[in-house]
This record gives sequence, structure tokens and C-alpha cells, in this order.
Amino acid sequence: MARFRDRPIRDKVALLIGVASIVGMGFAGLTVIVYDLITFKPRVVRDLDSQAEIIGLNAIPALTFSDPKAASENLATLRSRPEIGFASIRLPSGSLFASYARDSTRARPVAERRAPGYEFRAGHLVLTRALSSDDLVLGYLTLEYDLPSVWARLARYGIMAATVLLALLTAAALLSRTLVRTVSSPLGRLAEASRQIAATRDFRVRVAQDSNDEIGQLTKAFNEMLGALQQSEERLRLALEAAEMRITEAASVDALIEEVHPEDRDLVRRTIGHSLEAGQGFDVEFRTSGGDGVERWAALRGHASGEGKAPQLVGVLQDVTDRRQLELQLIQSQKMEAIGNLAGGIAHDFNNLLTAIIGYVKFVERALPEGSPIRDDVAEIDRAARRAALLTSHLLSYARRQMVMPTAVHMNASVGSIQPMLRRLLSEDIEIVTALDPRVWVTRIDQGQFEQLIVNMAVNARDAMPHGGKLRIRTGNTVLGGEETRRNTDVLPGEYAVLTISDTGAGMTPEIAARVFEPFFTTKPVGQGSGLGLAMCYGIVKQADGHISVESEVGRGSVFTIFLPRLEGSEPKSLHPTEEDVIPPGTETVLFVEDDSTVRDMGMRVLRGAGYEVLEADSGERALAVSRASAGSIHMLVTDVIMPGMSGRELVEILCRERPHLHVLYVSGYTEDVIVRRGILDERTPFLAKPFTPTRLAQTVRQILDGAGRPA
Amino acid sequence: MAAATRAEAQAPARADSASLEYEVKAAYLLNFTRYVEWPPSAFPRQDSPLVICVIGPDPFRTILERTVEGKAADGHPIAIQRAALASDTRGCHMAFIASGSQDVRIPQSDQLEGAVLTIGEGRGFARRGGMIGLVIMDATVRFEINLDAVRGAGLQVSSRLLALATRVYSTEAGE
Repeated sequence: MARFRDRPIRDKVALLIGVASIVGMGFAGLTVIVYDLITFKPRVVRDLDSQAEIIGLNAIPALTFSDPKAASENLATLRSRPEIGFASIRLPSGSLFASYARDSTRARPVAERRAPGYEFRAGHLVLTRALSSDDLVLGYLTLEYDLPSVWARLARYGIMAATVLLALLTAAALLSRTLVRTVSSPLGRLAEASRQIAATRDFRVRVAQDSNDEIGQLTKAFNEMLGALQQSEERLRLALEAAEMRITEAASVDALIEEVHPEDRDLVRRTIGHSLEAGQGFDVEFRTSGGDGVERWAALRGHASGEGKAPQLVGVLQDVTDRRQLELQLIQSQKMEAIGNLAGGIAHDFNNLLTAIIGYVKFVERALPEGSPIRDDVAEIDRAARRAALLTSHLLSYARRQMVMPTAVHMNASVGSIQPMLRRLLSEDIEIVTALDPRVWVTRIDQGQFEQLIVNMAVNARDAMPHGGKLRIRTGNTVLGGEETRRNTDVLPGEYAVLTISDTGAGMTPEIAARVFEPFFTTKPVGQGSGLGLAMCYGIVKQADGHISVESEVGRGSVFTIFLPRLEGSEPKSLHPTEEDVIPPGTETVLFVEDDSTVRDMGMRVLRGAGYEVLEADSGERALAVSRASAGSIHMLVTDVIMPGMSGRELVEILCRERPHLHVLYVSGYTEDVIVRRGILDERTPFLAKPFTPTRLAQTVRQILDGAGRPA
Repeated sequence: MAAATRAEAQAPARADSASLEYEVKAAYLLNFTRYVEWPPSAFPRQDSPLVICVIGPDPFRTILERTVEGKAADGHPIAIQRAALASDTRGCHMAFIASGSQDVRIPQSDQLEGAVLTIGEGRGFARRGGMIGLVIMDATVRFEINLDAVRGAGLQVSSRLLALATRVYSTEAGE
């Protein structure tokens, strides 16, 4: 038999109530029995006496009129009192007047009493009462009461006690059932809910509260605890979800290993092994052995515990595939950047060298008499040098180190000039359709970048139409009012020239369309696209204060619309000199700053040959000194942009403060992104790209001094 | 103190002695006063005597006087008068008409003046309009009651007395 405290509450309560009932009953019963035993005799005497009084009252008239028959009939009413066995009425003389016997066993009296009073004799109470009228005793009434045996009385109590006990036990059983309903069942439900939650970890479970007592409060508190746990779990889940993590548990390393790409399994095993030895957490990244053929990377940071071959693993698993890809892309772009730096550096030095070569070849050519056989050789050197210049230009283009130089651009002209190249770029099953509005407004953008933009869009359209289709290029004008600009905070109201490039390709979902301008976002397989094409377009348009948007429908194609702000006023004067091989003369003083001596010497020789007064300096600092040492006026500063120490821009800033009317011309064979981004150079800043010819230099200087370019 | 009402006096009555018989009957007369209630108007004062009249030739001689000597009925002293005629019951509460009376006519209750309990001898007394008739049965003095006559005189008789009567004449009881 189980110990009491392990028994169900129902049994305990039933047992307690039962025991309490029996003990209570015992005491109550004992008290009643003792009281009854003590008071039994007096009670019987009283009872019998009052009975005798009633009988006597009716017997007196019978005695008065000497009617024993009536007296006997009167006594016969004692039949209703079976415990009275014998009764008699005697005359004072002692003779029997009337008698009554309950049955044949009591036909005779047990005692013959002649005086009033009572006595107990042989299990009987014999009581005698005088019957008198007007103080005259007419006779004596004697009643004999058969006392029940003690055992019979106890048996009566026993039956009573058993009945009450039965009732109490029934009540105890009913009570315990009620208790089960009000106590045991709710507790059982709580326990069941706890077990269920432990098994399923589902904190949404709630236990019904059907009372407001302690158990109700417990249930309420339990539910509140579940609510708090649920919230906490939810927060954790959301946090993990936001971090794209999930908690993972594995019973053994082998269970985990199955998810690991076979080639990475050794690594994972070793890492966890070290972690176990060192008693520290581990942090490992591996490829997963996903069944869908897509290689995913996972990072597992966790803790291994336990001995032997089956350590318990608990950790946070994170899908780091995207991060891995970004890392790869970053590496790729860093590689590109490094190549660009290398190419740009080479191009920079080459441009200096080519400037000198082209310049000196020009001098030689001029020095040679007409018809000299060497002229052809020199021309050949010049052509080779120019081809080399083109090559450096391509290098710079590849490295995206080209100078941003916004100019007035006529969209139609750009489209027209780039169209042959597009034709080569696109496969034959793609038809190019142009609809160019001849009244399209002039806009302001770097010519090269604008063409690059068109090319990038065309390439994008081509990739969207692997089975051919139509590429439409359209130009036009539009005025964006408040409505459009309110929807897009990036756009200012105003007049815009619009270039629309649409394809009949696969189209994009809204989700992809929303991200299409993000850097490194690509839907193309790795290696087939940099993810920078449309991002570059976005950057180019934004740099030109324009706006680009895309509308697309899956299966129907995409429409890219480019808004470029209209350039106010007339078309600006072109800085590009005519390719007339004439060196215009001048007499002004020019300060020529260039760290490359060959370029500097060549430039000075050109300008001096044209009649200018030329001061020279090989750095910004030296140039400042020369300027300050010079008493006369300096009309113009020709300076390289990138120099060791003070940059061309810094020099211009200082010198222009000191000499407000100074004209400036920048020369550079290499431009840093930082300069472009800071916007040093725009279309108002005269700029001459290396390599340049002597004629080009002289003509540009002359134009600036004549007022074609404003002072910087 | 005399024991005139003792039932054991019956035993000598069976000896067919006239004096014994009238001792019992005298005791009965006294006893009847305890089971019969007169209207308050029958007694002018609280201590007015209850008068027992013996009509006709007196069979009691001195027995009745001895029997009631010193007795009282509900506080009233008991007086005995003798009269010759049954019609002459003025001032009587109880009238014993001896069987040897010259006047064979039994006084009816509506002919009586006041509440007078008439007691006679023989079976015909109660049946013919008398109130209590004393009869001899098995050598014992018993009595019959004419309840209608008793009530007609404005008297109340105890149910205990009725229970002891050998016969009760009553139109209500259908007898």
C-alpha cells in the first residue's frame, strides 16, 4: 500500500473525513450511551408514573361505582405499550379488582405491592400508584414494566450508530467527489498542461479557470506565467528570426555531421573536438548538404558538453550564405579596385610619357622641312603614341577612373552616335527601335557616362531577352509637377528631358524591381554579371540631378525611364578646340605647375614658343613661392591635379585668394574618385586631359585667356 | 371518617339485605354529585346547600344522613329533604323517587322546576323519562342514564359516568 502522502488527494480527503467522522461519532455515541445508561432508570420511572396517572384517572370512576369490567377495559388500553407486561388494580383490602396481562408469559405479577412507590426486580420495574378520590384511597394501580436488557439497548445504539456512520461515510464519499471536482481535477489539469508544454514547448496552451479560490488563483498565475513565457519565447523567436538564426540542439556530433557538406565534415569534427578538449564554445562555418543542390553556408556558434563519443551540442545556427556571397562580391570588387588602381597608376604615368612623346614629336615635325623623308617616320611615331593614348584611355575606362565632366548633351545625338555600337552589342534577333523627339531639351551630363548608361541599359535588356525581342529607345520632354515629386522625394519639380528604354523580355516581380538599382543585386548567375550595371546607371543619373525609375511586368518586359533636368539657356561654348594645327600666340604670364619634368618642359616650351611669359614650379608649395616672389602679374595658372604634397585644387584655392583675377586650367592624366566625388571639376572648370598635343594646350590656354572659360 | 362509598360494600349487598342495598344506593347518590354539574343558577350562593330530596316512602331511613354526613359536593354542604309527591321538588337538586312511591307518574324534565336530577329505581325509570335509573344486575347495583332527560333539565353529566352506565338512552345515540 502506497504511503499516505503519495495517495491522491481524493483518497486523503475521504480517509480524513472518514476518520474524523468515526472519531466524532465514537465520542458522541459514547456520551449518548453513558447519558442514557445514567438516566435510564429515572426516565423509565417517570415514564411509567405518568402512564399510571393516566390509567388511574380513568380507573377512579370504575372504582367509585364498583365496575371491575370497566376497570379491566381501561387497563386493556395498555396494549399500545408492549413493554408493560402486567398491570393490576387492587382494593385497599388487597383483593384484585381488575388486571391486565400482555400475554400468557406475564399472566402473573412479579411482585405484589400494597403501597405506592416503585422497585426494580428481576429485569422489571414495578410501580404502584394510589387511586384516591376526595382524599379517600379507593385502590392501588400497579404497572410492571419489562426492562430491556443492556445488550438489547446496546444493539439498538449499534444499529443507530451504524446508520449514522453509513450516512457519514456516504457524505465523506460525496464530499471527496466534490473535492475531486473542485481541487483534484483542476490540479490534474495544471499538471497535464505542464507535461504537455514540457513535451511540445507550445506556450499557447491555457488552463480553464473555473473558480476564484486558491486553485483558481494558482491557475490564473499559471496562465500568466505561460503568457509571460509565450511573450518571452516570441521575443526570442523574433530576435532569432531577425538575426536569421535558429537554436539547434543535437544529441551527438554525428547527428550534426549529417547536415554538413562532406568536404567540410572533418573541419566541423575537429572544431568540436577542440572545443570539448578546451571546454570552450566553438564557432564554425560550413557548407550544408542541402538536398536541393543549392549550396548554402551555415555558421554554428555553440557549446559542446558531455563526455565520450556522444557530446550534447547546443548552439545558434545561422544561414550565412548571403553574407558569404557578399564577401565574395566584396573580394571581387576589391580585386576590381586593385586592378583599377594598378591600371590607373600605369595610365597616369603613361599619359605623362605620352604627353612628352606627342609634344616632342610635334616639335620635331615642325623642325623638319617640308618633304623631308623623316617626316613619315615622325608621323608614324605620332600615330603610335596616339594609339598608346587610346589604350590608356581604355584602361581608365575599364577601371572607371574617367573624369566626370558634365557637358551639355543632346540625347538624340548621343543615342545616334552609340547606336552602331549597340547593334554590335546586341544579338541579331533583337530589334532596335528608336523614337527620338527632335525637340528634346538639352540636358547636362557627362557625355561618356551618358553613353555608358545607354550601353548598360541595353545590355540589361539583352540579358532579359535571351530569345530575342525589341529594344525601344525613346526620347521626349516632360514637366514634373507637385504630384509626381510628392510621391518621390528624390525628385524636384521642373522640366526634364526623358529617355525611355524598354524591352520585351522576361520582366521582373515587384520585389526584384524594387531592388534592381541596389549595388551587387543581380539575378544573373555568379560570374555573369557584376550586379553593378544598373547601380552605375542609378549613380550616373543621380550625379546629374536626374531620376531613374523602372516599371516591369513579369512576362511582358521592363521599362526604364530616365529623367534628366533641362539645361537652362543656350548651349554652352565648347571647350574643345578645333583640330586646326595652329598654335595661337600670347604674351601673358603663365604659371605652369607640373611634377613630371618631361611634361613640364614640353608645356613650357610650347607656351614660351607661343610668346607667353612662363613661370614654372614642380609642386604646389613651390608654385606659391614663385607667385609670391613674382612682382608682376600672373594671368594664368596651368596646374596638374594630383601632385605630391599640395594638390592642384588646394593650390588654386590659395592662389585665387591672393590673385583674384587668375585664370585656371587643370591638367591631369589620372583622376582620383575622391576629386570627382568632391565635385572639384564641373563643366565650368577648364580641364585638359593628358596626353595632349602642343597645339591643344596652346589653343586651350588662349581660349581661357580670351574669356571662353571663366576664372575658377 | 366513614367509608360509605367503598365498592366493597357491594359484597354485603349481594346478601340480599335491604339495608345493604340502600347503603350502596346512598353512596351512589353522593357519588353522582361528583359527576353531574348543575347550572350556576341552581345555587344562590357559594355555600348554598346541595339538596337531595327523597320522594315518597323513604327506604334509606337514617342511612342517607349517615352517608352524606360531613361530605360536600364541590364546596356545597349536602342537605336532605323528604317530600311526599314527585311534583313537589321545589328547592331540590337531586330527587330520589323510591320504587314504592304512591305517585307512579315519573316526573319528566320539562315538568320540573329548576335543574333537578331525578333518580329512580328499576329498568323502566330512565326509559320512561327519568334521568338515572338504578338497577340490580348480577346482584350488583348498576345504573341507566337518560341523556336527553338530563340535558333537558339543563344538567351536565360526565362522560366517565356515561361510560359506566349499563345503558344510555339518547336520541342522538339512536337508542
